[in-house]
Amino acid sequence: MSTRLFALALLACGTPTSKRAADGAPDTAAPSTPASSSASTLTGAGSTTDTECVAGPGPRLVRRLTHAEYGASVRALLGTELAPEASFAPDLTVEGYANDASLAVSSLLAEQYRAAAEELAAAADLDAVVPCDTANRPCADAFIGDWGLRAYRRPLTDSERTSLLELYDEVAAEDGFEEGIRWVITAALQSPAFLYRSELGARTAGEVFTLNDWELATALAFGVTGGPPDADLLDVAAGGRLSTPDGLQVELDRLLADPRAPERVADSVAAMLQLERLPQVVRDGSVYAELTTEIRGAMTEETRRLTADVAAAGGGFGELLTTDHTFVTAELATFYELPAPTVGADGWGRVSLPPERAGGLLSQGAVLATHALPTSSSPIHRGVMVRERLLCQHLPPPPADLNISPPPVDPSLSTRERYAAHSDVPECAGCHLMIDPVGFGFEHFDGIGRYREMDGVHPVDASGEVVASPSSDGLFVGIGELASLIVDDAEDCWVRRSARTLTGLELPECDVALFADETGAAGGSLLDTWQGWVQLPHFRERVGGSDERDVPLGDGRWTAPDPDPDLSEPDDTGLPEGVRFEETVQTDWGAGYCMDVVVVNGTAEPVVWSIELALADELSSSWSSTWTELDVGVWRVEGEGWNSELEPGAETAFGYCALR
Amino acid sequence: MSSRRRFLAGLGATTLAAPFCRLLTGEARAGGVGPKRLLIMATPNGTVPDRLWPTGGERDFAFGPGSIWEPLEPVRDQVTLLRGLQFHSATNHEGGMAAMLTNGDGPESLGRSVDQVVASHIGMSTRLQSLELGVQTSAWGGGIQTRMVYGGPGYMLPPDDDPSSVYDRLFGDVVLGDVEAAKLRDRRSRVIDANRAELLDLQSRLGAVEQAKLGDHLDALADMERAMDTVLSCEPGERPDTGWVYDNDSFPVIGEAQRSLAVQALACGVTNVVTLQWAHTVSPVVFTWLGLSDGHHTLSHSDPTNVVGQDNYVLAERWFAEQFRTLVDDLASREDPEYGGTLLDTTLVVWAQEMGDGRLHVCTDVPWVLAGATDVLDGGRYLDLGPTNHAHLLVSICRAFGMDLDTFGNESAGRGGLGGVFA
Repeated sequence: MSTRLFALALLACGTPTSKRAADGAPDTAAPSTPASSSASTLTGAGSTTDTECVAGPGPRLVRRLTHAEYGASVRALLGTELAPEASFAPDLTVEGYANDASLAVSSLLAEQYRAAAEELAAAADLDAVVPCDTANRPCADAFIGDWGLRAYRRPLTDSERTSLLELYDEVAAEDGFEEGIRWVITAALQSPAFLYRSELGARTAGEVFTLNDWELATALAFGVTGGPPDADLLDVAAGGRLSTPDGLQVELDRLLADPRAPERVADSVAAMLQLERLPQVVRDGSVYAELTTEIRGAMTEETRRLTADVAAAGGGFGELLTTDHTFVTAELATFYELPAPTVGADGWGRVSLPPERAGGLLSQGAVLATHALPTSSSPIHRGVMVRERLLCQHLPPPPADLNISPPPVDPSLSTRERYAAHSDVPECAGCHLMIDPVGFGFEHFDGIGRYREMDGVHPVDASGEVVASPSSDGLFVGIGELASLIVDDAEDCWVRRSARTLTGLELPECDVALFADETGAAGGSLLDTWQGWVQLPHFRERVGGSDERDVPLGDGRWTAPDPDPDLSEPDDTGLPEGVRFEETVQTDWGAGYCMDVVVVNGTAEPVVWSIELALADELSSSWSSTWTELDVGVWRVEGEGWNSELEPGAETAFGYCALR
Repeated sequence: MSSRRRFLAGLGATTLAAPFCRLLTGEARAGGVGPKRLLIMATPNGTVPDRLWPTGGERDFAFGPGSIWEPLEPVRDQVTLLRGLQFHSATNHEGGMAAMLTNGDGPESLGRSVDQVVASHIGMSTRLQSLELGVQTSAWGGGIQTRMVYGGPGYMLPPDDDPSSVYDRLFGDVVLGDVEAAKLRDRRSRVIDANRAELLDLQSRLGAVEQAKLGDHLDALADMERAMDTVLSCEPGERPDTGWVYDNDSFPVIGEAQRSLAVQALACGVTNVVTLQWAHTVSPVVFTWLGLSDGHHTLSHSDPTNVVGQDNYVLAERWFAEQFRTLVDDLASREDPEYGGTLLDTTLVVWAQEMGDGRLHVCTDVPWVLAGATDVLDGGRYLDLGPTNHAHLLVSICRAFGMDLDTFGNESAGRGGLGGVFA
């Protein structure tokens, strides 16, 4: 198994994939690989060092604006306060980020775009956007050229300009100048040139395409500020200066000084930790009445401010994880039982946290309350949060056939004691030893993020341990020590997440490695993430098929390489003819992995199945099956009482996890 | 949103005078028209087998006291209870959710979910080819856990979780003069034409993956065009106002509003295909209106020794059964304006789930319920089909609508329909 998985991890290199390209289908049958089973399966540390690969360009594509980018764009273009994107159909979200490169326009969204465009155009202050005083056709033409350039983030083609002017003419003839302009706006806001960011480039060598200045300006602006290019950036693009490294550097440095850059870091961190869920997490009012809507909102803002503050001050993700300060309002200070802050005009003030409560992001109320249960803290949710959100390590969901009933609240036991059972039961231990001892470190914080010395009548024990993580293993007590322990792996994870934020793709491992190197070389701060990004080949170049350029419909081709066909061959299993099994990688976190196996009885007779498997790695847990080691690394796997016998046509599933 | 949006959405109700309906209201339905509409409701997190399955045989089955399906007793003659369905090669929350309506990808269904396949056959003459409704499906964004409708391999279609937004899209409420309406229609049409030309041009510069992406956009433009050319002729009812779409305690109110809109959309001929998705797999929704305080997914893992937890999960599941019963009742109480009889007679109603035993995370013995479609579906039955791949049921559903299909999704699940369910 490990050989196969290793080979598959290599496959992930060199194939940047969007969710759609990666997944292809919700196909439940084909054996899938860590590269293709889900977007969540980029392996953690380890795989990059095993392979010689070269970072390369990404695929040519158009990226539909995210809803946030749409909102920022229309507000920049029209000076409006309206936010129609707030009611758009939610997009595909991968790892918390709703910017996958595969985003498309569904019928529902197309209607929402139309309604929003008509509403925005009707409400637009034309005095502010139309460049001339005389309400006539030349003015309309000038508007189409100037405003259109900002909307499409490039000069309009002749046919685009003509099309919009014809629309203006028709409408103006019936209803006058203003209405004509409004329909130009309505049309432009539904144009693919507005709705999609172009990453197509022009062919410069073989299959390599190089992005033009307009495309670079667009990438830079959305990447750093979350919004469209401003007038200065468009001027620079028009002058062709972004094509040179120096010209680009000047503009990058300018944008990084914009307050929106640290805000953008805050957006990304909030997405990384799934904090958008905080408004609707359910808390039992009889236990946690204090978690009001206002407090939830203040918590979200607290984490925003802390993140932006650390970023603006030149801090790295490590500082954000370990800092001992935060920002509170008077109400939030009361909620947390912190001393009243000295607040500024906006009602917020910076406070230092006492050592037992300091742990940067880990001590943030928003993080703690989002990852908890209706009536209590949750070592599992918080342990999983650290593993999956902060360390980019993916854990399998609880397997079948185990008693995974959450421990009922029992006042005679502390939360920690109630959850200890997970790690005591052998079948659970494989995963829960990775989860619970991390989550126990948060036990000084209740289900809504308030500090406590006592869990009911029990003194809190916040000692824990990190195991099976590349460079975080060790014992700790409390979130401060936990934060220090995981800081290196978390910084790696931040780079990985930043790659997704900036590209909408799962970058190949070699690109991620180069990204990390370049970010580190630039200083390693949160803002330096962008310095690393622009050094990647991916930033300036794309690949396309040999006939992919201004070619007739149907002739272009850029498709992900097929998985190595050898890898889809099942092992020799010793199964009787007609009985087959299909394996899928459920999860792979680098140091280990879990597999789902489906057994199908394709014969006309009932069968009692068993499979012989060679497993080079260390079996850590299994479910819905019993395992007997016949020889070193050779196992016989059989069903349990309830699934060992299969009727004709019946299927069952089992699974296992192993550590490399 | 503002009245502007409602004003625009109201256009369709007024532009064309010709009545859509054949107005057979009250008349006896000509026999044997077969199902004309499809309504799929789905609820998450699996079941508790010991507390679900009836006792007895196909016709003389009995619901256990306090069992999950017991609330269906008043409509037992209208429903067909299915036991023994399994999803081919799927397991666990995500596998089940992805396979539930697709059975994976395959040459005949092309990765689409069954509602979309059927809509491609019976949805082309209606204002909307299909309507996707949700009840708190999207707080976690879109993803395998939160989506069940697929427009193609890996292409998830989002449900609309907001009843008032659905209402505006379907009905609107402001009347325009004919001249203004025609003008607006022409201009919208122009914009669509221009965007189509730009998309086609852009598409010609791209590789296959990106071409498919823009193809979806082109399809959406075609849908918008068709919506402009069809009208409805019915009373839309009150615009729902259910507040914040993710307010946990509003779950029943939002559900009721979406259910009403589903029925109304079918009754008004806005669409022939509706999906109604309650929450999503792994959903943490807390049934506070039943006095519960743990999340639905948490409760689904209660083992038999946790009597309170399991009882509470059964309570929640019974509540979903009540929602299905109400849906059946609502359809039975509405006349079919187009074909006569009741809407239930002409609508195939499906209650789908993504897993069987939720505690085991398995996609075997998954409980599905059918109702309506009285020309082809004999109600009042409890059928043990198992073990049978549910792909066969998906084939049969398509065939009930006159489609010529031999497989659905992954071909290795087997060919052919399911005997004994549909006439």
